[in-house]
Amino acid sequence: MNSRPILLMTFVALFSMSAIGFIQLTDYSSRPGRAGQAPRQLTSLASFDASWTADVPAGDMPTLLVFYHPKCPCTAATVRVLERLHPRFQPTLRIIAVAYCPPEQDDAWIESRTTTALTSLTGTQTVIDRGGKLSERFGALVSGHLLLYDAGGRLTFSGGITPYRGHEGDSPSSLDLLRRINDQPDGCGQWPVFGCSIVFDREPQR
Amino acid sequence: MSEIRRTIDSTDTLFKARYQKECLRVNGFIQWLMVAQWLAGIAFAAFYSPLTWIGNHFELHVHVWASILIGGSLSGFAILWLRTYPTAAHSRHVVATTQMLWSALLIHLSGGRIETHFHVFASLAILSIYRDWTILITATAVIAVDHFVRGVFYPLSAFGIVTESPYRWIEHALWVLFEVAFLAPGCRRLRNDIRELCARQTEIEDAKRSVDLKVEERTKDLVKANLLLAIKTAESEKLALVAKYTDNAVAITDGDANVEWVNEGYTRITGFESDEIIGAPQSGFRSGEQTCPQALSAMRRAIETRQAFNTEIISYRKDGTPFWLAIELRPIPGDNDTTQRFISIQSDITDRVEAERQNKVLQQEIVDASRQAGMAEVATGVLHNVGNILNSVNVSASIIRKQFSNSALQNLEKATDLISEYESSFAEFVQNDSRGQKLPKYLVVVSQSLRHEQSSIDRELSDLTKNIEHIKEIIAVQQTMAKTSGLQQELYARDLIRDVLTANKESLNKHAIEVIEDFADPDPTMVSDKHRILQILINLVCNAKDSLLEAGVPEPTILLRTWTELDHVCFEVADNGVGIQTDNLSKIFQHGFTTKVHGHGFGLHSSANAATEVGGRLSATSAGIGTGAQFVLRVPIKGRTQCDKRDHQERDADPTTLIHSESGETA
Repeated sequence: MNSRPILLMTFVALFSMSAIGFIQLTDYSSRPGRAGQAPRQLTSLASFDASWTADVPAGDMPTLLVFYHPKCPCTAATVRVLERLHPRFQPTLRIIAVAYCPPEQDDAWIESRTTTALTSLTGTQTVIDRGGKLSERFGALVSGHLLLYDAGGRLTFSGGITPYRGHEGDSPSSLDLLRRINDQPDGCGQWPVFGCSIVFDREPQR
Repeated sequence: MSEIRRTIDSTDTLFKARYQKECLRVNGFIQWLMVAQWLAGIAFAAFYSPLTWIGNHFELHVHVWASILIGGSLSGFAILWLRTYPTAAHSRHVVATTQMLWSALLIHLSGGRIETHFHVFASLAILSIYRDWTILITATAVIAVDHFVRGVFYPLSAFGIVTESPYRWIEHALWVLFEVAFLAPGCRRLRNDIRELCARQTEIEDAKRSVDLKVEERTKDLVKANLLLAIKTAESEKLALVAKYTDNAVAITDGDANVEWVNEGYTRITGFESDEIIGAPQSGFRSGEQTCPQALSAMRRAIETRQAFNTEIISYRKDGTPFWLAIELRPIPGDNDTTQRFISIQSDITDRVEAERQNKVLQQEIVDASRQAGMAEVATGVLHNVGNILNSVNVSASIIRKQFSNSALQNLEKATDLISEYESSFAEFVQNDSRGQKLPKYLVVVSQSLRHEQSSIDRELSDLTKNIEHIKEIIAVQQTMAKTSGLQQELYARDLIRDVLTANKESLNKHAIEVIEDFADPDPTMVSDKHRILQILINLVCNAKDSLLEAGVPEPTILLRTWTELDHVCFEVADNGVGIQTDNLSKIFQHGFTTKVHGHGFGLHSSANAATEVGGRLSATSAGIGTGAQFVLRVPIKGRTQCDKRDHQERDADPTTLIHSESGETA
């Protein structure tokens, strides 16, 4: 029996599977998530429903809001980028990590490598976003969405800081964030966000 | 040139084989690597991104599926390709491509971790194990193409932003090239090193093969040499046995015939021990007063001229007793055709010489007896001739006696008695008496009768005298032949033939045998023994006569011919008689052999011996019965060569030289 056609077909099948897989994987990784409209002005942190936020004025220093899903593996890349950028931030930056937590879960649910990494950053406060209400309010529908408000409470940055989904490394968005934190330029930088959806809806983002 | 080409081909073949073997080994490693990478990819994905979340919902992450499917297909493709084409060059390029894709996949699965990018460079290092720098180029090209395609179609996936420089993929490729720039020469150098090793190994194998061939040839030579040596050793052992146990004395000398070695036989013969004779000259020969000086001189000349030499000579033992020694001296050539040694083989021939001496005496006695017997036969022939003549003499005497008994003398006496009775009256008696008147006529008749009687007796007496003269001649010849003085004198062939014919004249005439004489001109002369030659020729003529009588041919003829042949005078006695059977030709000169009814088988034997004695030989030829026979006697012109010394027989080294010629057809 001539096995050459079978062999040839096997090669073609394997090659095709690899090629299609790569294309699909690249497409998946390059497809940004949905993003809502974030508030242009942050006047108070009281809405974060945390004990420490009651007496803190929003405009005394720049505030970086990091919305994330504690279980999202893609956000790990965002955290690693943030870890590399953090030493280069001006020291008067307030970082607030908003961790999504399902309503039926207790606070311990947010414990993950991402949460641990974010809380280890200097000046970082963690806020539990039970049920994703805060995320929805700030238009951060995808894990890894960062919002930067300057000392005046004005939104200057909105989006992700990874080049594509779950991919760490330098990217224009991360450099833009660094520039806006340190130099406080005018305008607001809008960047795509790559990550898991924080909020479940009919068209969940993967 | 062909040797260099063959070496290069051998190197290429060895390098190819070794490289393929190396590739197969690396292929095995790569296949395990592919499996390991697949498992690692799955583990990677399961660890870093096991689930994807949507709120509080989750499902298996795409990375896990990608690690399973893409990783499985990549590794499976590479493994299957390697197993299908294990030694093909394109298999290595497939591996390079797959490995680079694995790097891309792992980077994806690790979330673009910088550390994971090292997989690219590690993979290049791994690929360099193949020592094929071209697959590094392929790997580089794959990386470049990957980034190029991503930059074009998914810029965010590659660089995170669409506005990133379109040439950044070149930078990434350049970094890969940076490593390849070091790995590729290394691969090439390693490859060259392996090739160099193969070349060295080929040279070593060639050298080993050459050495093996030489060893094999040398071994064969040695085997042959050993075999030859064994044969020679066996021969030497046999020769040693011969040298040890032979009764002959064997001496080996140097080039000047000084003794270097002698065998035990030498000691047995001469009485000298080996250590006593080493260094002795003349191959150990010891001369004395009985030694023939001519033979000794000849031996010395032979040694000086390095010639082979044979002689029989009287030597002396250690105790001084003389003995006859046969010496065979042979030069042994060395390098440059020079005589390096002599070998001298000596044997004690005293007994043989004594036996030969006794044989000579006996032979002489036999020759003498033969001669006497021959002479007796000749004498018989002579007496036969004399007898024939005596018959004539007897007839003549009878006639004379008859004449005398019937003589008319009695009638004359009657007449004289009548005259005496009538002496006184004789006249009256004659006139008146009738008897007286018849008396005158009677006397006339008596007178006539007596005259006739006288005439008859005169005639018979004349014949008688003639016959007696013949007898005298025959006896004179017999007396001449009876002289066996051995006197060497100058002889003329024609005179010898005439003497022979004289001896046989009456018999030949009686039987009307025609004798044809054919003498050479000039008449051949020789110095020889006349009586022996006459004895031979008379015997041959008698035999020819007898053969003619036996054959009864109508024209019996004997041809007597002489001629000179080289240094011999030849006599031929040929007849047209009964001839000789071919089978008898070889026996005709044997003692006792005869074809005559009343023969003794001694005449030709004696003649042959006589021919040998005069230094010639006698031969016989015949075409068979009824064809006659030819006998040829060859006599040396200068007579028989005689050795002056009885104790010396010097011969040439060539043993084919004849010293005795036996008469016969082939003698």
